[in-house]
Amino acid sequence: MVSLALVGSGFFIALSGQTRPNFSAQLDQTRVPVGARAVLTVSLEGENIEVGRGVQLPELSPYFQMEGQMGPSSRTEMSIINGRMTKRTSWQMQYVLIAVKSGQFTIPRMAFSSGNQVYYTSPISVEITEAKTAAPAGPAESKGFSPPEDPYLKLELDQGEYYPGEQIRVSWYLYYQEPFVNLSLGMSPVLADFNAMELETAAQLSPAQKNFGGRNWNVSFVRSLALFPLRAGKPAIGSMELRFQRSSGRRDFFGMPLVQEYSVRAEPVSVIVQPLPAGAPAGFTGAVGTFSVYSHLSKTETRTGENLNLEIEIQGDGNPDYILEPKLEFPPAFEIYPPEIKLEKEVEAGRLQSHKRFNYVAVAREAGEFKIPEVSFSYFDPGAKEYRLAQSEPILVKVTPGPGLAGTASLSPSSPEIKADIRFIKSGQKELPDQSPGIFGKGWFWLSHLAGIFLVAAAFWYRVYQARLESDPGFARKQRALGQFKKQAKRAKNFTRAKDYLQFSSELKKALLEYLGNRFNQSPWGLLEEEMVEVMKKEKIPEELIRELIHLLNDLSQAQYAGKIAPEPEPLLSRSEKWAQALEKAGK
Amino acid sequence: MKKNILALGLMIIAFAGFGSPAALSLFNQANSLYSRGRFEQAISFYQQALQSGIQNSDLYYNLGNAYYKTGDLGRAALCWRRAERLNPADPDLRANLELTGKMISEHLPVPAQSSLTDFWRRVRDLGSAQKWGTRFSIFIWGFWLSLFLYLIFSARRMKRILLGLNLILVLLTLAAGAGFGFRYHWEQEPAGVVLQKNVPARSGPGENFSLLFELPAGARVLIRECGSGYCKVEFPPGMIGWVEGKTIERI
Repeated sequence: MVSLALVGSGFFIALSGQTRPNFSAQLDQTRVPVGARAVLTVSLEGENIEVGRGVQLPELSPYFQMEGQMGPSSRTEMSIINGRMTKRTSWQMQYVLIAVKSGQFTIPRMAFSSGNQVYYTSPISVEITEAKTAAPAGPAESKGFSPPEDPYLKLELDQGEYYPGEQIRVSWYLYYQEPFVNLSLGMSPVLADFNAMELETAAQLSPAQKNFGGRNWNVSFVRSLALFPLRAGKPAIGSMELRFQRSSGRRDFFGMPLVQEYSVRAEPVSVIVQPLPAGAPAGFTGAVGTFSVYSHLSKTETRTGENLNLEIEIQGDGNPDYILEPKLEFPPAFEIYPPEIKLEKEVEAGRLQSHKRFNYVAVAREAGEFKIPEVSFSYFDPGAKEYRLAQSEPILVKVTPGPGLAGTASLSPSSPEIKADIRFIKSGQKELPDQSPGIFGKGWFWLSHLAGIFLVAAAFWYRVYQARLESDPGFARKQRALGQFKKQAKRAKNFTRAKDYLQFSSELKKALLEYLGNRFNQSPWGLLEEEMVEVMKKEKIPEELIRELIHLLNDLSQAQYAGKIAPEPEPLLSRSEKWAQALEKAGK
Repeated sequence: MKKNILALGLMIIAFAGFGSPAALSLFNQANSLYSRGRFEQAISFYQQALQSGIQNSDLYYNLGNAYYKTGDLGRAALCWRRAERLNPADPDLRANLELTGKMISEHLPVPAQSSLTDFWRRVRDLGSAQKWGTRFSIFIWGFWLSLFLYLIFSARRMKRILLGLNLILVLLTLAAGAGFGFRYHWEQEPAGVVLQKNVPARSGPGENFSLLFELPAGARVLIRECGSGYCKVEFPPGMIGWVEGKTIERI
């Protein structure tokens, strides 16, 4: 029995202004299942009103019980217009009600009085329905566990340890005490190390009451996923975030209740994934769980040339990606075409069950009785912790001779039983090179290939040069003159190390004269000084170079006769080299 | 300073040649989603990878596959056609395009190609314009070098070998140049792909004109001119009609 008792702090209003106040009540839902909560919001807004002692809630039994209240919250704004002060007050109170009996009920109007005036809210109709069927099994009331905050989102696993490829049922439960509205998924969990498939998502919350740490909590199932770990280790299930709204206890300018956004996030959880034990049988593809294999032939009696359909179904609760095409050993009298593969998934008892069907088209080419052998599928059973083999039953088929030659009634690729599909995607690339056409569409790129003409021109020049060297000894001597001089000068320098100045001056003089002979195609020996001068003048060699040569030759002759160099050999060598290089330039 | 320039050059080459690591990461994530059957999400990741500016045949191929799996044959064919420009010799791509061709031929009669046309198509598809251009560059520079050596060397035996090599390289250069020209011309054609099913092709740019034929999704057409929201297109057997511009997209 719920009362007509005064609840909350209540209020009483005295009106001194002219504006009629806005007094209203609203329930957050019009259909409430038995056992569920509903929030009744009572609001008042108006000018120059005073909040007094209280308001009476109407009789709500036997349909509702009041569980608690939020507020009151109030806000007052003051303004002075034309010397007259106006005070505008907003007030709100929220009551949390629990539906206890099904039926159609009308919450009677509520009233407040001010002076001689009484103001009423509108009555509210609400349908209270029977309690819903039980929500997915919630978490156990674990000993010592108590939600640390309101609300609290908790991730639950169905077991403690797993194997790669084994199905993990992950469920998220929301624990809350204070009501909220507009619950939505804010952030999905990051599941980098898993294959994930959706199992169930709550269309609306169906809370169950549970006691934790001496306090009552509403516990609602939110979402569950089937995860298949890809490798052994401790992969993490990332955090999931939910968003919701709660009343802020205030109203906006138009009198609408203001809400505040909140979010709650489940902590990430690491899962222990043990490596699979050694000793996997041949043909084991990585399937972990419980599997079975069935085979079905469209008919067990047929004629040669007719199509048969063989369906192999492998079903189980492990990762369906690991169910690969089985090895089929058809009798050689049959022609087999690649199968059409279909995968169906369904949720049974809260777990994902996969059914993978391989549909083969077979054509008998010979008459006789044949046995289509059993089909095997290896898997690891995590419950028994051992590798197992699921097998289908063998099938006997009788083939009688068909019309015409056996094998002529072949199945063309366009036969409706053979389905065409696109090729699989490209994967496993270590790089993704840019293949843009780039420079190949540019004119300058193609013109640049003509640069090879220069290479050909260089070859021609080389050929001509070589030919002249061979045919013109004077030209050849001239070309070799400087190189030969440098070699001889180097040889002369070696004599200075042994302090053999006589040989040094003799070699250097010889180098100068030979250079002169080569350069002007003359015999280097027996040329008088005057003849040398004459030749050089004829070749238009500058006077200073001619004089420098005469000085050099004189200095070297004196050194030859004296047996020593005055003052030092190095300057003579250096002068000679400079002279030869200067003559080379002057000759050009 | 020289080292810095060298490092910068290597970076430019690395980025120009091998694409960005971010695009590769997006590509791999998209592949993972595709393998799990999440084709819509895979499309989103492939498109993000394309937004990095990269042009890669595998990327277009996989994006085309994802579109195909969502039932969008038009966009699938568009992506495969773009992949074809970059790597026409890919056998998987050819298989998908042939499958598309069969689907199109169920809706629109496509005359069988002559063996000569088929031969030239095969030659053209031996490589993209980029590959033909690279072949041409290698052969012509080989020819110039070989000619240079021929002129330099005087030994008769060597000259004979180099002369033979020259002749081979001249032929290869001409073939590669012709292949490039042929391929480049084909790639520069104003081609497009029909994105929607049963696109009506009319005798003029507007709905008032009579319906000539309907183009199926995925059909490759040549866009002759566009204006007033309509495009004049040619379906390669020689069928010409006007279709709404939004129903086709350039390759």
